[in-house]
Amino acid sequence: MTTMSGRTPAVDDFELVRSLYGEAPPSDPVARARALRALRRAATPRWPRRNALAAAAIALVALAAAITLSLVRTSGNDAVDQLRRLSGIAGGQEGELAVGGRPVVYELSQASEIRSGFDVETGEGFFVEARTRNETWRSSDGSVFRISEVLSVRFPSDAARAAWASAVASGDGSMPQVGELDEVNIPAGRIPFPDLAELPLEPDDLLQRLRTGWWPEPLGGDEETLRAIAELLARGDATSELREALFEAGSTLEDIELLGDRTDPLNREGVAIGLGPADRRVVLVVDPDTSFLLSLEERSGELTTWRAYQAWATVDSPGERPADDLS
Amino acid sequence: VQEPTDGEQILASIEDPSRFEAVFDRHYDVVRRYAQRRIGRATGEEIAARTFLLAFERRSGFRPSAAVGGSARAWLLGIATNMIRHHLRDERTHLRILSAMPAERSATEPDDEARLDAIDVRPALAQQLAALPEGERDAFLLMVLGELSYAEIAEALGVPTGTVRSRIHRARRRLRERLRPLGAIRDDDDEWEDPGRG
Repeated sequence: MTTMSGRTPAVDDFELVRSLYGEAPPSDPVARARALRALRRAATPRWPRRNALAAAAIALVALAAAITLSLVRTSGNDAVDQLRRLSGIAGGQEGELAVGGRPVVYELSQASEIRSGFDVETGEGFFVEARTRNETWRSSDGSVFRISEVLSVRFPSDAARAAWASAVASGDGSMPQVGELDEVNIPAGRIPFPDLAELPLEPDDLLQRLRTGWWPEPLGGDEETLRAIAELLARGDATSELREALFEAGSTLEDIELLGDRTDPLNREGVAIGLGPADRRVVLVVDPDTSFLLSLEERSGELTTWRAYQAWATVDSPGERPADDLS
Repeated sequence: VQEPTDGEQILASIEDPSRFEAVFDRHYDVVRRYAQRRIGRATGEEIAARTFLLAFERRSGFRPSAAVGGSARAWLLGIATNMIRHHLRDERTHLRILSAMPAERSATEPDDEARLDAIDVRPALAQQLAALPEGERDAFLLMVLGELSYAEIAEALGVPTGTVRSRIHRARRRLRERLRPLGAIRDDDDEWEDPGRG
């Protein structure tokens, strides 16, 4: 046997495949540190344990809240009715959430994020809460550019404040500081459903697509599905038809609950719809008049994080801000 | 003092999550190299990071007794492989890019002539790899790029060892059928050893 060039072949298929893939790039210490930081965030224990008295007090407050909630909470059927009503409002609007007709969608939001670290003195894990202002630009090719600015840092305890100060002094860049800016470029195709036009508009099909096609893993439960619905409702490039279908799909989730009137983290009044057990509940607060999603709140263990959506617009290029102040 | 095994670290991390960091330290580079070679630098890097997050979440499901050599390497590469499956389009794009790149050459390497031959078959090879059924491609690349044995691939993919053998056999047969007419592979290489472990 000879090659096309007439030479005698001397490699096997393993060698060919290895040659095709080449060597991996050298280790990038920044990327490694980022991966380790993410793991540490996930691995850090929950908020510091409180003493028994404090725990009893919290339990009493929780019991009172549960009783109050049960009085205001209405049935699952009410949640279905409310979501269908919102679906009708969304369907009656025209076009995409971000209006203006320019090629790049601009979204403005605020968020509460939990960041964790290790106290360099004691080795204990600790948390701080960072409030951020987030600007997102979505280009038509599916790429996303995002700038986040830390507006404030909150501490669950004096010990956490001291540990944070110590970490900042030691140059730990993962600890938030007021005014800190973070820019993220996400290439096309790296976010779930870069092209929303590919999503089915029939609610059952849409629900199935969300459950199986979310990136990077299929969704684990209905609370994750509700969160996915919220994330799509908040996208400036979501059309009225898609938003109508998303509300309709949400109404078919088992155990969906109407939680009554509630103010969102930015003190805007809305109607709350939630799902999931107490330690991992997902709650959407929606403007009952416009159907716009005001906020998405997520409970994880003893922590609650949220994202509040403020405005949508279109601009000509990533990084460009709308002429009007939308905040 | 003998260092704790992966299984011991993972078991301990259920009570003390910080112990999982030892698993990260041991295997991050292996997972990163596998993912980056297979799917490209940026996505591979992200998949490596997410592999450890997902592994941490699922650590209570790790069975040290079922892990070959007590190592978490196959388990982690299996998680990375499952994530890569969600990036089929990225993987195909990466293969297209690889097929268009010239192979690395070095005049000092004795096998240089063979490498020159290999250049001719890169597009066909990449195309055939992209066309392989998912299960065959995963098993084959875990062996070639991940350097896992049959038993480890079986652990990584959660399938019997016999299934791994037949998947790799089929994958190699398809590749060789495609490449043999181009004269790029040795005719005397129809049999092979499990390259993972003796």
